[in-house]
Formats: sequence, structure tokens, C-alpha cells
Amino acid sequence: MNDKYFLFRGCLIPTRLPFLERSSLYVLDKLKVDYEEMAGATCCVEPIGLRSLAKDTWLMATARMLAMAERSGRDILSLCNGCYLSLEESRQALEDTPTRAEVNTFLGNMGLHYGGHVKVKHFAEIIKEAGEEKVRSLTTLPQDRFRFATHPGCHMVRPSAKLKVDDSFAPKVLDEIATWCGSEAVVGEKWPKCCGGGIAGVDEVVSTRMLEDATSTFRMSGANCILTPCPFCFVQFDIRQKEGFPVLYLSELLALAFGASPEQIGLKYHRTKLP
Amino acid sequence: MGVDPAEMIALLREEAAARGNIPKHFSDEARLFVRSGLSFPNTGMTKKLRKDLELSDLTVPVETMEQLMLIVRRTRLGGLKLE
Repeated sequence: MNDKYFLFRGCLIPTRLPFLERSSLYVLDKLKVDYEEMAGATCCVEPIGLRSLAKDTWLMATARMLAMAERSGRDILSLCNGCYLSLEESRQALEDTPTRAEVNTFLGNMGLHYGGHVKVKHFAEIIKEAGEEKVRSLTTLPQDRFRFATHPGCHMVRPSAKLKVDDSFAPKVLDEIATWCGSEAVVGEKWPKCCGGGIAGVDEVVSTRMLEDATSTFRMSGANCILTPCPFCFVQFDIRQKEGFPVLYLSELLALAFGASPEQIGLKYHRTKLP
Repeated sequence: MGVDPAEMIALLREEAAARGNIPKHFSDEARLFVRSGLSFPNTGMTKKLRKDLELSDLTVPVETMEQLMLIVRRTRLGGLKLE
């Protein structure tokens, strides 16, 4: 559509991790991205649990938000992998004309209509589009203390037929952004492992094993920190991981590189100690 | 041939949910969604953290909740008993 966005914060970031929202706003302001908070947003209908319970509810609720964005002439910018998956899959489902017509019949009761013209973008995609030159030019404090193990999380790249921010095999976008910020990316996962966050509330044992498996790869690589653009992975690594291997959310790295102080972006709220 | 394992797992999950095999974690999440429009609780700690970080209060407007209720009534949220 255009370069104006509704900022979709999701639920996890604004309720439990608002410091990630703070650093994201800092970065978007520095990049002069034209965004507005999305008043009237609800949960994206979380794509693992809620959506499994109720596919119709998911489609209708996400269509409502796509229609709101379209009415305002804005695309949607997501800070969360899960929200990105939920909204982007809905957008793709609504490319089907009969499906869209059926949904629009109901949205009409709310004075809304979705014509199929909104784009859904992931925060990492916005940074990728801003490009190396722009990010390097804003980097006043190169973050050379970090040797990152980059972890895109499942739903920046999978399902690969639908999500195209990066390659699902040997993804490289996070490695590139880390380098633009003056850091080193010492390992990029060839086939990024799931952190186990999606089943944390269902089976703690399996979730923990998956987390340990993902983290063990990082430890062997010589990295001193994990870099992720996903708040669910962030929680797994920062709060549930027992080894104390530190993690940064993507906007935190960019904010630090762009000159934010740790106090400004709430780094004190991390559980693990940063290098 | 032509079978996507991830798609199969997702379909099985949906089928299980349709037959009432729903982990408590997810049914609790659904109840919270219907009550608040969010899938994580907006607590006193949320309010405090947001204030410390100079972020606006997190609110879901009344009109939004009314629209969400219309959607839930129409789609029945997978037949989940919400009382």
C-alpha cells in the first residue's frame, strides 16, 4: 500500500515486556518511520493456541484489523513473530475472493470492509528495507562487544511457503543487521530450532528440552549473546533458560547502536546479565 | 507426496480442539481474550512498567470489545464453553 504503518504491538510485549516496545519506538523514530499505534487492536488471535481452537474467530478478528488499517491508508507493522504469522496468514487467506466476500458481509455490521490491499510487515523487514547504508549512518555507538548467535524464531521464516522475511534455511537477515550495528554474528543457524515457547504452557518438560537443545548450539559457537526478533523466544531465553546465556531483542541492539542509553530502553529489566 | 508435515500437525491440532481436547492453558487464554481483548493479563505490574518507561496506559476501547463480542458470538470461538 504505502510507507505508513499501524504499529501492531501484540499482547506479550505491551503487557510483560514493555521495554521491548520502548526500544522499538526509539528505533522507528530514529529511522523516521511514519507509524501510529493501532487503537482498536485486539490480540491477533494467537496463532498456536487460540487459532487452533477457533479458526473462524481468528479469520474474522484479523480481517477486522486489516480492514481498519485499510480504512486508514496504513499497512501493519508487527513487533512480534506470532502476530506477524497470524496477520500475514489471514491476509493471504483473504486474497481468496469468496472468502473475503463472506467475511465482508459480517464486517459490514461494524461499518468495515476489507478490499485486500494491506501489507503486513515484520519489524526485521522494515530494518532490512531501511538498508545497510541507513543503519550504518545512524550507528553512533557500534556494538562491537557482542558476538551474536542469531535466532530468527520460527514465525519470521516458517511456514516458508507463506512467510518471506528471510530464507527458512540458512537465514541471514539478522546476521546482516547485527553486522551493520558493528557487532559480529558468529553463528547463523542453518535450520533454526524452535525455542519451545509455543508449548511452554502445555508441556513444560518438552518445552524446556527444546530450549536447552537450541541454546546448546549457541554455547558451542563462541557467541556471547543471542539476538532474536521474537518476544516469545526472548521470554524463553531471558526468563526460562537456566544457563544464563544473555539475549537481546532486535530493536534493543539497534537502539543501543543508534545511541540510546541502557536506562532509556529499560535494559535493567532483563533477567540475564548482558556482556 | 505433497503432504506438508507442519500443515498436518496444525490440522490434527484443530481436529483435536474441535473434539474438545483443549489444553487448559489455551482455554484459559481464550477466556482472557474474550474478557479483555488480550491473551496476556494487563496487570498492576504492566501499568507500573509502562509508567516507568514513559509509555501510555494499555487500554482496549469499549467499542473494540463490543466488536470483539460480535465476532465471538458469530463464530462461537470454536464452541468453547466460556462461562
